[in-house]
Amino acid sequence: MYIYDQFIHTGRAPAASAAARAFGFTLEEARSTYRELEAAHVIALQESGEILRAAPFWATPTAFTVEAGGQSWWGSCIWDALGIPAMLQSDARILTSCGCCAASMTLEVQISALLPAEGVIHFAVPAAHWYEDLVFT
Amino acid sequence: MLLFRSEEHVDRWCQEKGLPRGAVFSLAQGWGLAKGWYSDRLSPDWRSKTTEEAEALFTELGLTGPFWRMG
Repeated sequence: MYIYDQFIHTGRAPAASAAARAFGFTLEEARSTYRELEAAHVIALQESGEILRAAPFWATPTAFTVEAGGQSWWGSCIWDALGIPAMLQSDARILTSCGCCAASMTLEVQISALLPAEGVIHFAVPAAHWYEDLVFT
Repeated sequence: MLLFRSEEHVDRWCQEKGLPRGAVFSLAQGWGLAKGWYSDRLSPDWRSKTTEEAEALFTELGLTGPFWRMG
């Protein structure tokens, strides 16, 4: 929950060094804990060992920005971007663009409902292969 | 897992990328997917969905066929 608390309240993933300070770990102990969480499919890590994803949050800038309550986050895809207000049970705006022509598109969630908007969702990768390449999926 | 202005834009993107068309569905279905997948994510009792639970969610939302089989 520490990782989610940090994402929710700061909009960013906690660095391993911050987690180490928070829990009184050495940096290597914090990195080892992150690796254990990755092995358990709770989070995904960048090559650097820092957090890349704690679904539905993504730690680095993407084409899906979610704004709610004065905070903003990134989602890796439209599913995760919609997943942020679903998880937070919060009104939100999703700022993104058409995957084809890059036209700006905004979705709004209000009172647990997605307001009607133009657009369709396309999943290129079949469900059986979603976790083979998270960045492409 | 991208958003497009229309199915025509999906087809154009697939053609440009040389990718087969995957699954196209509505924003309402996408919102149902997001809620079904993530609304309990902060619960202390949360656990990842089993293959059967995930496929049941897809079916409930009308997302059916081989594309949506996880196994």
